[in-house]
Amino acid sequence: MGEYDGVKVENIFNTMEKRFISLGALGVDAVIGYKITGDHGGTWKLTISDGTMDLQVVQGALEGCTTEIIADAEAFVGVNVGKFSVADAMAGGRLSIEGDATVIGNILPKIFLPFIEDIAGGEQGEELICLSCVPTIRQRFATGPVMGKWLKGLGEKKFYANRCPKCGRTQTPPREICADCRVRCTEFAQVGPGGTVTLIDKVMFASPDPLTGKVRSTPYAMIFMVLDGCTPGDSFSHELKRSDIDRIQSGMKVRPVWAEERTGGYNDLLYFEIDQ
Amino acid sequence: MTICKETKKDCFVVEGKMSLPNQYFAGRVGSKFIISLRDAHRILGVKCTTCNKVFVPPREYCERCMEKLDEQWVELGDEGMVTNYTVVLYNDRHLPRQAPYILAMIKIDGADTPFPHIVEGIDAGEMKTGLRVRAVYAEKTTHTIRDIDHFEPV
Repeated sequence: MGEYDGVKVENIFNTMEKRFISLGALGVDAVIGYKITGDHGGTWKLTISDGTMDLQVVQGALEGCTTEIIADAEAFVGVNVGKFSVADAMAGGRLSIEGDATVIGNILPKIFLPFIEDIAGGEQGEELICLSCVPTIRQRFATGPVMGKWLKGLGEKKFYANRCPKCGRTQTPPREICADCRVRCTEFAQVGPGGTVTLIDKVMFASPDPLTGKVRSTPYAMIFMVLDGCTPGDSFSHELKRSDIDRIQSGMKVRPVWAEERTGGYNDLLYFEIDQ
Repeated sequence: MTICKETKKDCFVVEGKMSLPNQYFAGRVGSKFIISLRDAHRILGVKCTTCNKVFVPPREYCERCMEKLDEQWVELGDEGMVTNYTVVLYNDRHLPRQAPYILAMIKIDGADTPFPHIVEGIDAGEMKTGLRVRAVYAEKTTHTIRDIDHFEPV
């Protein structure tokens, strides 16, 4: 007894230095006493200060601790190897805490890596190959005259869709060819600036921007809208102002918000906001 | 449809650069194959006993009958045959050699599947399918198939 799955109390304490995370202990000042009863039990005093740890075996009484953990050996090890939680051990009357109990949840997990049993001796571990790399892909996006006109229009706070001579559909942003008729669209039509929302996409988990590596803060929302003057079904999507995310509903009117300094590129259009 | 020569009006180019951090896990079977190339300079395959087929590089399951192959390893030699090839004529910093170089499908003796690798030591003009080749191992390891540096004609 006094152990759990072959792991003894002394294994937990012997590995504390190895498992210690100095950075997690910066700014932490605590003196934690351990009173472990039963076989292989004992008394230890752990002093954390200034990003360092000092563990001492104590003969006799514990003194000067800000927290004291009292447990039987089997329960103490069981909690440390993750077999059951501190709460379970406490509920079972096998572990109690005196003094500052917040140390258990707030401090200890930050300053010690979890105890993992070493497979010392015995079978050699299998080597598994993992290759890490960061490929860089250079790219050139050439606008052509049609996308170029759209982007130039953004610089002028204008939206230029184009209209198909055959079916009369608008396309926002404009495309060289009508997607339905496959006919060249040469006529531009100024649309918007406001529009009507059709669909809303609230994003809770953002993937990193491939150009900057930065992750947008979440939640953010994309809206699909039909700009005024566009044919039905010709929807255009863009980001919604963050403070409008909770209010937005399909059917609402929105208007664009432009950047102060515009260069005739996609950064000129910041987002859309609800048009009261 | 006539192709018009577009004017340059409103056209411009945006340059960008995407960084894609990425990790490739060879897996248990893949790792054993690479480690054998790296440490023992030996090409390994796995054999499906149902289909009587040897896969090089090895895979965990037979593609046809789904037999588990990860305990059925076969040791093969360094020689084989070119089943097909191409000559790479363009340069890119992601490619293993300067153009022109020969990229061939090589079936090691005893294997039933070929794999691609570089063939060096023969002019592109003289290259042919059926050519007998032998593996030449790399000086420095990369923990990849390129621990075989290339194949040369026997």
